[in-house]
Amino acid sequence: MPPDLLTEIKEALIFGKYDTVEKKVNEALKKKVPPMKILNEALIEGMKEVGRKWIDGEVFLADVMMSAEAMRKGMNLIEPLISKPGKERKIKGKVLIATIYTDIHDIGKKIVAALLQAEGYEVIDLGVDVPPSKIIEEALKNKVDLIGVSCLLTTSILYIKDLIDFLSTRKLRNKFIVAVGGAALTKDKSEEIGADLYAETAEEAIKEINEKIKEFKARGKEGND
Amino acid sequence: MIDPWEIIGRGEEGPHIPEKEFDMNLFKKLASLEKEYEIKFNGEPLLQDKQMINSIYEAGLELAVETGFYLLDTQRRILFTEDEIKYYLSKSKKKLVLGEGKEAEELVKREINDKKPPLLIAGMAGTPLPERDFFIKSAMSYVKEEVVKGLDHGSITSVEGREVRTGSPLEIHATRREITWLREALQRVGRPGLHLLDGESSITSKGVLSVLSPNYLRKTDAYFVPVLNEMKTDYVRLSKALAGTEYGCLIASLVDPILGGYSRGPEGTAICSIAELILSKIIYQANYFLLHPSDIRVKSTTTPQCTWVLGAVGQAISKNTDLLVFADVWVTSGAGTETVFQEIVPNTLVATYSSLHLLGPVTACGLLPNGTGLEARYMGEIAETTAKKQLKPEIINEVASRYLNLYINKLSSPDLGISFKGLYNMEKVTPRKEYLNTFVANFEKFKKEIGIHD
Repeated sequence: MPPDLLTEIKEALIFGKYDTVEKKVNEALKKKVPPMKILNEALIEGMKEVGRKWIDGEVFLADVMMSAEAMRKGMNLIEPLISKPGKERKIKGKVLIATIYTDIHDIGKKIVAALLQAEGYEVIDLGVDVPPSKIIEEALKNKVDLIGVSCLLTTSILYIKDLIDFLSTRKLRNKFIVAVGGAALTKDKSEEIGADLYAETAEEAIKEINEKIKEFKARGKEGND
Repeated sequence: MIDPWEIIGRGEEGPHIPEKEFDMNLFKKLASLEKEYEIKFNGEPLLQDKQMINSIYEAGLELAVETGFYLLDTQRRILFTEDEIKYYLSKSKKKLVLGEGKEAEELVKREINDKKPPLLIAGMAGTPLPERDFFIKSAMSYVKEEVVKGLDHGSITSVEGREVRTGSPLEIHATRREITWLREALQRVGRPGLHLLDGESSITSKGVLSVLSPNYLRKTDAYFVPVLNEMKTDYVRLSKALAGTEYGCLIASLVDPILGGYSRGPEGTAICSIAELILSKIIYQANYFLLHPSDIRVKSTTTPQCTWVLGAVGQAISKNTDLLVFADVWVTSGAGTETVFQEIVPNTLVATYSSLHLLGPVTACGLLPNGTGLEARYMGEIAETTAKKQLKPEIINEVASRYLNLYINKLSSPDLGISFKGLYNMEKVTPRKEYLNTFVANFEKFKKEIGIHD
């Protein structure tokens, strides 16, 4: 086991050097370093450090994005090796994230997605301007625990309300935690539209999601309302 | 002026690049420009280094040429050569008229430390506002202020008891209603010709295009077209610019780089601002510009870094172009608080010195309708006093730093203050006595800070 190589991967990820991460992960795999070890000790640890740096204001959004890209490149190499039965990696949960229909703001959502990855979640980012029905389809298809929706436009909040209504109508409301955030929302507004969770900042979102998913998993997913 | 079809054409034929790659390239390019041009924020609110001011402009021009604007719909870059950019910039007008009749105001290019005070456009821009009476009266509170020469008020989120949703036909109704109410506010105060900076109740092009008529937005008003973060645009914004240009009203371009985002820190944000100002001049055919460097965490323009960007960009633009630029000031504190009066000062001092005009202050960062005309009066009076006294940059830095120290630790959990209704007599549309006293005390304090003793 070459610890230096793991440190090199971690450092390259922290500095967003995604090509180096790709090269070094390949090198580590050739040297028979267990893929789970690369994942846990280099990639996830590196992303955790990036998350801490973001919270402390030491890095910019683009730094976080470049590290997330490095994580993605590393994962692309590792995932096929650990997705065999009995070898699945342990994740805290699966999260689907999107900016709601008619809204194209994506910066806050990207930060939350990167920090969730750092926390050990699998994140499916659907991008911006995503219709409620598409969010539901993808949530079902990917069997996620939590749907996170971002909204910066006051007049787009109604589409989040639609999403929650559609989930209820289709008797899927208790299958997913619905978390909301973004400048257009407040705690009161999120309660009014029936969301389960609201956070004002990305850091708060991670904390709240950690707690909620823990509770959610403890009580087990319910099928119906 | 470049014809709009040429711009659309370049957006449909320019080099393709995936959006993610464009973002990453921009980030890397900014990092290398900061280094190459030796641009460094030294912690002072006002940049005094003349060489660095020029370097910021040169770096911004280089970025504009190399990167261009990204058109989201086609995933292509809209590019211009340096000669083209310089040619179009040379055609900028140093003077414009805003508004009409007896309210017509000349918007003139200001120089660094100009004795001419900045022109002030005010209102609760970007703020969702409630029902008719509140909307009109709060608009009137700004229009009643002599220092205010234009109005940029908030949006209506419901009409006829129905909530407006983005893209619905109600956007048309809401935007038309909003402009009608704004014009009613102007008439009731006796300033019917005052300049309006667009309606804000429509996100898509539906509502905004529906007010291009003399019954709503006049040709002496402005259409507001934002640059998307960072260095991007889309067909909605281009449609708006094209329709506004053909109609013949003014076009105001919003340049609002996010400090801490893709434009990096203060240095990169300053470079990016220059490039966005230059390119939006050409691509949107903009007549005037709103410069709004906001902090990714606290959302306001009032951090030391954002204040520095306002000053650096204002001076760099004034020295190298004739663009007419406003500092778009957003404060975290709401009306009715002591901190709102503190938070307004550094941006106003630095912007006024650095040749900018002023827009704002938007209180509580537009989250709540906690704003009044009195904060605009305060900002206007400070700007006028600063300009007339032609304060030295060292004094600006000293006073701005003292004010920054008063509120810097409160930015992440600001006091959002009190609603307009709680601070004004709603019948007479006048500030309540206690609030007026707070204003007077704070203005007196400011005058002492800059050495004026009555």
